[in-house]
Amino acid sequence: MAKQNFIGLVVSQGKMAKTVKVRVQGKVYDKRVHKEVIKRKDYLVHDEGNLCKEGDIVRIESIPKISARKSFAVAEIKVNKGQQFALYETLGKEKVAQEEKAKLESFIKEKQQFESVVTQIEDLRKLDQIANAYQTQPNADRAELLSEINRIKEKWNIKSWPSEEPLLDLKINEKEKDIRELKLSMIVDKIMSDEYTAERNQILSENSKTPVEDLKKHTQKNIIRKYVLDSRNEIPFEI
Amino acid sequence: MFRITSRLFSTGRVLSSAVPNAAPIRAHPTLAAKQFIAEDASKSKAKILRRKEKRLKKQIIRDVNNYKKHQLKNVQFQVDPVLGDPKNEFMNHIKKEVDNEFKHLAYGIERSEFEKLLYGAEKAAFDKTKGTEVLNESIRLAEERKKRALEIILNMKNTNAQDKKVLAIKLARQDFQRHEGDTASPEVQAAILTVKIHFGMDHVKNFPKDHTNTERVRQMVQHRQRILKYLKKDKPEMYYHTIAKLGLTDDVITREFNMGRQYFQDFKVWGDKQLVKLSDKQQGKVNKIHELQKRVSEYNDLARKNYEILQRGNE
Repeated sequence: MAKQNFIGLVVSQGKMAKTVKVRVQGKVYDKRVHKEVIKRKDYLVHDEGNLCKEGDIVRIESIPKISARKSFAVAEIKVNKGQQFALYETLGKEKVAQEEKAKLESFIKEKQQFESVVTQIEDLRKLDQIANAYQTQPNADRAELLSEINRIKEKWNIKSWPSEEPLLDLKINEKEKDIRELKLSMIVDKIMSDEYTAERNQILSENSKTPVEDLKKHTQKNIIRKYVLDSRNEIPFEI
Repeated sequence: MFRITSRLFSTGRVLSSAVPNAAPIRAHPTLAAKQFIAEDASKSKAKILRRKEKRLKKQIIRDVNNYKKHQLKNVQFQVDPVLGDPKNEFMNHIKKEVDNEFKHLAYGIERSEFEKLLYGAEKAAFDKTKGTEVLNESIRLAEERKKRALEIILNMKNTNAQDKKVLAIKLARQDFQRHEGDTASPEVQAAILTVKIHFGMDHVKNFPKDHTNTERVRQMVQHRQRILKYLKKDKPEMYYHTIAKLGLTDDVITREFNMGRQYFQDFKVWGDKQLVKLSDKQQGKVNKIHELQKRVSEYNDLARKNYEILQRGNE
């Protein structure tokens, strides 16, 4: 006769040496209510290598009784979800420790960036003062002033002073967003119009697996929008 | 009745932490029963002592096992289920960052942008007048005064609590986002809720009678649990990383928890105050456990002493 076999879930581990608790679930017909009810039974199971973790699904097999409540042993681990979770836990902790280190470095970098902005502003202020002195004070040492001006110019890559070009880039003045993004609805509407049917069909056939006739209008519009937003793609007309 | 008794020890900590477990030698507690019979003791006296040892041994085994059983049944949370691990870097870092008045300005203005703009304003004022040195000096002073005033207005110390919270949430989001502009992935939601819970708990600590706020924090704690449970199902690897980063543990998320008065009492949110009143019967049970715990620790101490005596005798 084959050995008694069950498949169950490990519900408790680490409390007893070489032993885990396995929950086996099955259906039993209840005569009183005339229907099948779920029946659960917990077994204490021998686990020689202490391999199982809570959450694993295991197959257990009957063995000669080895203690008061143990007459089963783990035969195989079917789904090692619990072991995987335990691994993820240690990995997660390691990753967090690494990230902490990286964060410290980025802090220092940020601080240095801010300091460089402050020194640049101070230098520009100095440049203003020197330029002013150059014009107003005739008995100042011109050569020295000139060398100082050149030094600062070289440091920050300034071509002329007073300069017309923006020296400090502000976020407000950042270059306007891509023109395609700004005029997106206009471009998409134009491609969707009857004028560009051939071009539209070509774009759609290249970017979707389903044939063009089967595509609904809103799906077509979405594909076109995606196509337009990618700056590498060409648009059939001038914007 | 059942609910009350089951809740009694559910979040109680202290019980286990009071047991001195710093013993370098692991002497078995039954050694506490050891009776040292003198060599010149009479036969009857020796017999009495031997019997005593046997009796005490039984008692000790029973007590130790009972205490073990109790501990297994009433497992405590590994960390604070609301605030998480106090040593965790995430929230400490955000709090430090919010208080850092040299790095951040109020209303989401960046410090370097502020410096650049004010320099531009000063330069514009100079260019406009193109005057003598005296005039220039007066303009410089005026601009400096303006800058000082703005620095005071925009100082993080002088801004409102809402603004600080907004900054904290922004930092938390940037820390957890999967890509630029990610505002709603489960880990970002959990991080934002954690920030909100911490700010809310500061209020709870200061205003114990503001029940509306307490309720709101309680809901947020439950909400965070729900979101993280989903993440565990969806992306287990990400889940364990997130909880490690937030200073939480798995049992805090998966076990049942309600931020009730029992929690406030156990984690001493409002000091050492008794908030949940126990009936005489319940109090009796608690006292019994305390006595049991005390007895077990006494056994351990005595066993260690006896073990040392025996070791010396062997040498």
